[in-house]
Amino acid sequence: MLPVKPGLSDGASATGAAPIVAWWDPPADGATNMALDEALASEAIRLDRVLVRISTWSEPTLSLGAFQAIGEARALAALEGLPIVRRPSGGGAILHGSDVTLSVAVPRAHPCGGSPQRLYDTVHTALVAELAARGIAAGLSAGESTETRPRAGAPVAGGQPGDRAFLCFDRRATGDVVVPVADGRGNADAKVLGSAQRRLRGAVLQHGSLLLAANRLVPESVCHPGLDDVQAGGGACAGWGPGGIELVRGWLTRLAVALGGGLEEPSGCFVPSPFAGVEEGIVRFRQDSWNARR
Amino acid sequence: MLKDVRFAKSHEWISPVAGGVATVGISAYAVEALTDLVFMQLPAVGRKVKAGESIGEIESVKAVSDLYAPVSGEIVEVNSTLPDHLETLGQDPLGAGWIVKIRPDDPAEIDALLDRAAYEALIGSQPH
Repeated sequence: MLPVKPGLSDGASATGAAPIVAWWDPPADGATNMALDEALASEAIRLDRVLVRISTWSEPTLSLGAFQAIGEARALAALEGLPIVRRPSGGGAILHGSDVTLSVAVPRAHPCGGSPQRLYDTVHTALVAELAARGIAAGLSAGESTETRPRAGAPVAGGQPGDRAFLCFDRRATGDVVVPVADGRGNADAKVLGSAQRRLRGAVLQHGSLLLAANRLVPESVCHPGLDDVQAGGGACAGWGPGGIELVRGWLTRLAVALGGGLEEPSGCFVPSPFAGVEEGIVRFRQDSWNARR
Repeated sequence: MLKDVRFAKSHEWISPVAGGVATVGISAYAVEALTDLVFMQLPAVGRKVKAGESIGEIESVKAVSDLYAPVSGEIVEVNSTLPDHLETLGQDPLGAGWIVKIRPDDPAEIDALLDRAAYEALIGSQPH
């Protein structure tokens, strides 16, 4: 049996399913967040547990999907000067700054480690339930298959089938969480949670970005409404403060129930094994050989 | 439909060697699980690979997955039209949807992979 990390249980629970383990990490730059998430997946394999990392960004950052062209990001004057990091996961570009990232690492043998849609739906449905408990009528998008609804004037990923929107929050995939607020681009609802996965040999890493509020640090042309725009006065979660943390904790609790186990929240931040290669990962995620590979 | 095809646990298939070369693709199960494929990156011809090493990546609407070499050897050909016609993977995964051709270092490595019955048992036991 593999040793468990200090502070974690041995995985036994009343239901027979191991509790998920969640760490609340301090804000970090893009390279550090990506390297820690890769390490999270390695640890999920090593410990055979579902691991979660809740993180925010120490500066407004553009994260690209694994195969998006960096030239398109650099060509957008609206994004000039923003640091860019390429995620190992797929999906569209995200302007981080008013969102919180939920990174979920699931061993491939776990019931949610098979179909991509199942993990997507499990994580997203838990948020919809938590929002409903708070009086917010969120739902899951029916999607547009390979989707796309780039709004007028919004960047579109060139060379991709179906004129895919460049920004994640301009896209609609099946299971995205949407709320009933006009997004200002002709859509009757606004996407507040989108996710994308990296499917590794032993685990699935899913990045989910929950837009707590509109990112006022970026120009209107690339700004999307967030949860705080659902209610007049911005009362849904009031950004990343006590209200937002309470919302995410409720979401996590529901996610743990959906996965059949409890929830463990060790004190302190996520500290991966020395063998997880975090330092090397940070260097790699800062290099053009990774970030400009396409 | 290829006869005597073998499968890796990571869902790649490989044909028997003919003329020193075997053909590699991914199974219909893998294609269906990924859904809505949007991008594929192929390896360079001439690259030497070890069994289990990533030889490419494939992106669907929700996920990026690695493609793994089922055996060690040299990549001698890639299906360069495939990235522009990813629908072929779903239509004919064991035929026109082939991905690379590889010259195995040791053809006996292929025999050690799963036969069709064992692979079907594997996917039958997988979470959906």
